[in-house]
Amino acid sequence: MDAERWARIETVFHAASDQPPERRERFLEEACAGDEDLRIQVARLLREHDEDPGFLEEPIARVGDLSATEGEERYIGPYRLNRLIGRGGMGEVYLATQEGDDFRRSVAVKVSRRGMDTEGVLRRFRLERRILASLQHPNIARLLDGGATDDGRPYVVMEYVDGVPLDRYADQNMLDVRARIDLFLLVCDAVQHAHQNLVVHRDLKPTNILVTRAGVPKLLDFGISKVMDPEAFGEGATVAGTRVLTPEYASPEQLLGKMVTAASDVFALGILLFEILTGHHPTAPPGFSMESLARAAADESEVSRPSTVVLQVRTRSRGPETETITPESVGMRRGIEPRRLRRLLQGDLDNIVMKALRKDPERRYATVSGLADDLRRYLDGEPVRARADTFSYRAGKFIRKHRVSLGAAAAVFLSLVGATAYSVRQSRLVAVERDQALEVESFLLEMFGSAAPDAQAGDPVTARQLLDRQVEALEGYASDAELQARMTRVLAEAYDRLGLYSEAAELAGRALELRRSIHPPGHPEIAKSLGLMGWILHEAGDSERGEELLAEALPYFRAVDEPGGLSRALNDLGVIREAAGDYAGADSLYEEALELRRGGTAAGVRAWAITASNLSVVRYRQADYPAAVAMAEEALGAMREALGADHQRSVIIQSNLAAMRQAMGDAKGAAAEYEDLIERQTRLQGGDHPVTLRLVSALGASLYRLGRYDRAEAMFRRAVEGQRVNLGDDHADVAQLRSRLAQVLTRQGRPDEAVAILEESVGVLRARYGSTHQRVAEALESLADAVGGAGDPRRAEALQREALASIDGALGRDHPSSALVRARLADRIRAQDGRAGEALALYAEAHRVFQGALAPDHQDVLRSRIRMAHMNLLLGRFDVVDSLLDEESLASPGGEHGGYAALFDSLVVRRRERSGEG
Amino acid sequence: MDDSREITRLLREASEGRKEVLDQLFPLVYDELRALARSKLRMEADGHTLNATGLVHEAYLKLVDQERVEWQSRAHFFAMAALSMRRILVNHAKGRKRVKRGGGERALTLDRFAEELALSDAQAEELVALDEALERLKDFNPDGADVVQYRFFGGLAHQEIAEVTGVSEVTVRRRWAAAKAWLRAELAPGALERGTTLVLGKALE
Repeated sequence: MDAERWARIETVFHAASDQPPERRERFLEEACAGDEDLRIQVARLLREHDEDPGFLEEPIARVGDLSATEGEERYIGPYRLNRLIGRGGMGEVYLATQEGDDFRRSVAVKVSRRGMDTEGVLRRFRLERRILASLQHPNIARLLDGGATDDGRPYVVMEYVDGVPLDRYADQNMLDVRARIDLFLLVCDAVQHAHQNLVVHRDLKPTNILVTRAGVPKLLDFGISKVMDPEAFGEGATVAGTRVLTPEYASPEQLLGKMVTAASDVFALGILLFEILTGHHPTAPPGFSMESLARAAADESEVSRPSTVVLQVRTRSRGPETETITPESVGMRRGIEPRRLRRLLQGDLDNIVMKALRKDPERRYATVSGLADDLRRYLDGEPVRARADTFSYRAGKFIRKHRVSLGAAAAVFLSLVGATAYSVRQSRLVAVERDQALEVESFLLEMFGSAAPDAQAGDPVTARQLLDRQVEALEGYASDAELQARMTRVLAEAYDRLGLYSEAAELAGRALELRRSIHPPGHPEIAKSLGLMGWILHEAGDSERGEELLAEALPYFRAVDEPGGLSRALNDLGVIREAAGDYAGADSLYEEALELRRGGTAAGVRAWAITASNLSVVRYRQADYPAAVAMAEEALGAMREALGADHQRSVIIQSNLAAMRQAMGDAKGAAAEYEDLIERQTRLQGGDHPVTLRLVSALGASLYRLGRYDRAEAMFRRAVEGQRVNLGDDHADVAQLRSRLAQVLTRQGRPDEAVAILEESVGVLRARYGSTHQRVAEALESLADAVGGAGDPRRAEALQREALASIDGALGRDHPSSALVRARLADRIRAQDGRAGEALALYAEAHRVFQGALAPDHQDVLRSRIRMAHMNLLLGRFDVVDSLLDEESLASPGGEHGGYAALFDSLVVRRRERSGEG
Repeated sequence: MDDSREITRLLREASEGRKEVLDQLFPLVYDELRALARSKLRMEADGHTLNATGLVHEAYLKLVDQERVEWQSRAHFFAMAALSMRRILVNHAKGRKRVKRGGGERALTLDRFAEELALSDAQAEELVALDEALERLKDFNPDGADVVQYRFFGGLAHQEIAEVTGVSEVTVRRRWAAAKAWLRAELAPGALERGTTLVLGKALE
């Protein structure tokens, strides 16, 4: 037998065992259909299992029975001691059993060591007992009893906590940062409770905080705790001033022998928090000593910030052992990639930890609840206190209250889906949507929600692994072709969603084959599979075949009157036509789909909204802005009705709407839309999420157009700062954002600042893209503007030429974007004496391109005509001016020529004058 | 002492997920158990009985720095002890068989400790048969074989086995049920006469 065979046998064996006996036979028949040997093997195991369940049950030797005793039984009071579980300076702690008539429970018994029963120790025991008796909290180990042994040694009996130290528990369970903080907050509650009862613990450390298997932390060992108000506990309570402490967790004032207050526990909690967040100790260098700690106690700068240490490799000594802690090991235990962990810690968490760890007790959080409240504020996405509460900070901090409460993996994945979606449509207009996406998303979320805790949260590799695993499982459905086909289809969509098109296409092909083998030709399920295959092929880049398949599916749907499938195919076909530039064709496909989708269920409204949104985009592309905006508004209304205004889908449509308003020249409307969007997007994904920052920069662009340069500057600065953290200083996106910021500065009359920024940006972009690239050209143009503004027209012209060379090289001379840069070069030189001819040649070349590529009434065509007319006028070629200035076409609807209106008017006037003269 | 430090370190590593260190742990635990059993038997007056539990606990206390390890580490220690018990018992049983057949003297400086367990001839037979069957099981179902070893030869609880093997308790129970059924099928028909198998079900302490 081989392992694979056994695995199969064992699987069926367990499945059969789970069936009621009378059904087992039947179950086996079905489960082993076609594999008689399997059936025999499993049946035999089942028989053996049933015949003698006691077989091997009694161990031949017990080596690990925890309740076994060591030789003679020992008792303390009524408690039977089982084993030693701890040994401290003053006493020993045993796991013991208390037996009553009808109950039996495990307890922890702490008893002073023989020979250690000095008056001081005895007093400590009595004190601890009184302290514990005063504390009743679910996260503090309860005091159950106390007394004295036959030979007079005092003991206390406590709830036995079968658990693991806090830090180890968090690591073993691979808790993510949020879960770690949640756990830590419970500890804070317990300590706060003690403080309210005037007890300072003074020895908070991981081994004194055990977490049970149910995940409940319990605070133990108040052995060296101190009572703040001696009167409450009788005199003598505070006398024990001996320096009993754990150096690694002791506060500076403890180390220096100064007064110990509740703030000392805050400090210890700060170290704990530092450790569970980062895996490192904040100060301890390898082989720390009492002296080095005391030195550290006096010098604040020795404490590294959590976000700094997580990218370091450090060794850590615990007693005789040395452990090497690496960014990877730390990240792995928190289910997060090290750099992302660093980003997560940067800012608020850094500040909170550092505030708890201040050397001067007065500058720490005054109370444990102050620390806990700040952590809760962090979790709720509210501004934390651990940082000066300036306006800019509050403005930069946004609320994440409505964050989806899914498992960590699911939540991260959600943002991953969002990010993927956006990266595909990163242009200012979000491209067309497709409704299956929603279903797949929910399927994926379910899958991720149920993923094993060992799944690396949100890592796309893991997302893929999860899918791969599901694909393997598909074979298990071989007996149910229908189900198998459905699962195969869903998985194909999931791969598609992750951008893994070849896998998606392969599965879609399999689903299609399955459907063809199950159903007669013309069945709607076959049509659906055709449609999916078509869509995936389109996404994979083969739009032609994709369109063919979708077109093949259409008549099937029409024949069986299947409006759902039909409208989807129409919608998808529309997307493909649109991508091919056939806007009119796409328009009518969407219109038909929209008609089919009108009315109906919530899902129907959602589907309608998606197609309506697509239609609005197509209208926008056809430059029919009023119709585009009206349709987008309708789509937005419907999507909000279906999914709520804060849903990602609604947000996408709204950002389309904003972009459309902007394109239509309604910068004010666009800005208002963007402001609202930023607030929503921030709630959805946080203020520093790349998508949010993209919206911030779009708002900047609107404000720039409105001439509100100060606010535009603030927006661009925020976007730059945020993306720097997300992407790093040298990222091309950051460089581009900085270029935009510089454009604002130029307009503000601060060209020198702009020049400095732009020179750097150009360098970064060149390093990234080489000399010939649209982005490089764009930055060079901005630099030319700034240099021109700084009073150096010669260099400005040289830079503009560089920009032209760059874009010509990247896109070719016949691209409209290249033509635009060429026309701007002409703009720059046309005003100079004697260069009108040169400018005209450039305009003419640009105009030729515009005419070939753009509609006759496109702004750029009209503008270049006006400019050419201008140049010809300067050169005295009046007849050419006439042919260029055809008033009728220049005044046609949509032929808006903005700032050129005045120029146009004056040209008309002067042409009349001249022709009168001539 | 060196062994103690080494064992403590290995146990910590094992409980932190580095299961591969168990291989290094075994010989240390095994040697220590044997040595401890011998010295006990030398020192103790005749008639004093040792039991496996007491022995292992004593070894544990001696070898492991309890301030530095957690309950998971205990489980790992006991798992190694279970493997040690298996070797000791099976060697003992094989020795008995040899003696029975008259082949060679009791050259094994046999653990008197194992003798204390007073295996009957039938038990010795069965033990060896079980050991061999377990080796066969291990070829295609090493996880199941491990569970049997920990449970039958060590008396570890399901939860402790779960800790050692790094899977859930439910999985341990399932592996145990399946492996047990297979072993019973393997041992029942030819290997042993019917009726004698019950012996293994008896406590020996």
